[in-house]
Amino acid sequence: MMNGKLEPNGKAICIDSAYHGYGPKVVLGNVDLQVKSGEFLCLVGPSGCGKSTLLRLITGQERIQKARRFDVLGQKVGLPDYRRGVVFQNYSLVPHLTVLENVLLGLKYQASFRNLISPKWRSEAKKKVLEYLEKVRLSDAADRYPNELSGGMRQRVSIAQTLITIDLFGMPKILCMDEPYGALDPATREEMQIFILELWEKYGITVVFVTHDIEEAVFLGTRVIILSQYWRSDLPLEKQAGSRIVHDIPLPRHALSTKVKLTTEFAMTVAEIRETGFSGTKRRHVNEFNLNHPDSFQTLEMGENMEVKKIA
Amino acid sequence: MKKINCRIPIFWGIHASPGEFWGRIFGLIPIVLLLVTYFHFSHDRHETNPDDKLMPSISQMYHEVVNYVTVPDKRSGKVLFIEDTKASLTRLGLGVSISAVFGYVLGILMGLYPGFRSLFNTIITTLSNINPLMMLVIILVALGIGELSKIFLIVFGIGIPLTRSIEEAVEKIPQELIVKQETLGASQLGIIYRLIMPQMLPRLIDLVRMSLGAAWIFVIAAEAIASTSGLGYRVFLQQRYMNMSLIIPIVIFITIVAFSSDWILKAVLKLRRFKWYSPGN
Repeated sequence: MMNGKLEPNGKAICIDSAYHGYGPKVVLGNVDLQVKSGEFLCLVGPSGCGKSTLLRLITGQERIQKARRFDVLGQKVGLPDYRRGVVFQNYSLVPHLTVLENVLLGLKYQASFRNLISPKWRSEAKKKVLEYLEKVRLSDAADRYPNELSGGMRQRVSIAQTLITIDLFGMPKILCMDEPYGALDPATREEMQIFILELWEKYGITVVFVTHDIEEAVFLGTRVIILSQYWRSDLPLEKQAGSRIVHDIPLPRHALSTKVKLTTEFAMTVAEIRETGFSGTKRRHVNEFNLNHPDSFQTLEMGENMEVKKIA
Repeated sequence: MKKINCRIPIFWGIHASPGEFWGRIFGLIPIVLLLVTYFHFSHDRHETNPDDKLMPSISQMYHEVVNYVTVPDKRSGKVLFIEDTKASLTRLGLGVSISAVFGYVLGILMGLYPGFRSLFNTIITTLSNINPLMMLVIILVALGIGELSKIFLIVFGIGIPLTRSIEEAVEKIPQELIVKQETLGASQLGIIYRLIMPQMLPRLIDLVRMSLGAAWIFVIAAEAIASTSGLGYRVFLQQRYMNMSLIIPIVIFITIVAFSSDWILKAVLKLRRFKWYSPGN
């Protein structure tokens, strides 16, 4: 049985009935998700709900254990490649290279041997990189090593690495970000939020953004998804069979101003998400999930379509 | 009420701070004591027996050293000190270089490729548990007493632990960093050449620095048992004549060589291009 419609054509991501776990522990239990290209998808959920796992599955860093369909950009998910960019919270930069060399890496990886040994190509590539460093306001730090940078600067370099390949090669088409701003102070964080929105608008890429900050998700996303293990009303908590998407809503695109965070509407959306996804006491049956986004669909397991008595 | 003492002691207590001057003085004390003790007893022994060989005086040692360093050998016509040093350093250098290349290549392959890890892990673990000095006998029987067996002993003794250390260090490189390179379009060779190899280079230098002590042990051991040249051979030869006047200077010479090679490798690690490297992680 299926609620909603699976429409794989032209979707950036298309996942149908995905299961994944570690040892005996099921992390994802029947996750259904399709994302159209150009979406800014924010993924929130309580700790341990598997949002990072889902992201690693999408980048190809981990292999999905069981799924009816797990397609990224119209192909089976496969191993990590240049069609999917990633930005992690840590470990994004190569420690033995300067900022300039780090951003240059993407060009070098994709260059032919003839280009690599040509001094002309090298100086042009360097010039290009300096242009991008200018864009992320890091030209002063070009010759510094990652361990000499602050957290915000490191994230900007990490984004610049991907940005330059998007601009020159049109790849990656999907940018996966795993709590990229988790370690930043509020001011830098806000600056980086605006920065990523600008990039997203300019290049029309699909962004999958994992965060544990609901406000951040509501501010950035055009669509917010809650992945939560707190959903079965008919089973005790310890017998939960993995996380599911329990909430899936479209969001209006705000103007690029952080002032929107102060409005009542914004606060209400945040409160609603906190209530539905993060509370262990409020649990519902699969039929009562709020899956309002036009792309959202849901496959049900045997017996789940039956009426189940609600716990008050 | 107990009075609070604000003075920071120079020597006693966990908060003592000797400072630069006193720190140096403290460091010299044991060495001075050792020398004073030696020459005191050496002097005593020479009072009773002017030809004492066990604790030679400076002049005895000087005489032997000049003989060893400048006078050509009657049979070969060559200065023995130069020949011995050349022989030992060649063995050490060749053995250590081969071990370094071996450990670098195999360590990176095993650390990065699960296939290579399963292929070599058992044999490397087994070999690393064999005592290299016991292995010396087998190597001598199997490969003869030529240069090959001595170099092989060094590679066996330090190349294998080196491989394991490099492998562990490669495995510690965060998976995220490798995935990030793949998403930037890196091929497997690109990852090895641009990410892994440069990151492992200073670690390799550091590991070589730490294995030099062991390498010297194997050189001296091999020379002691089966050789006709080398500093180790010379020391063990002099032992038959109880000729401490030459043994002690040679030991001091080897110590100085070890000291300086350690210092040189440390200096290499301080170069600007290795500024990012910290041995801890």
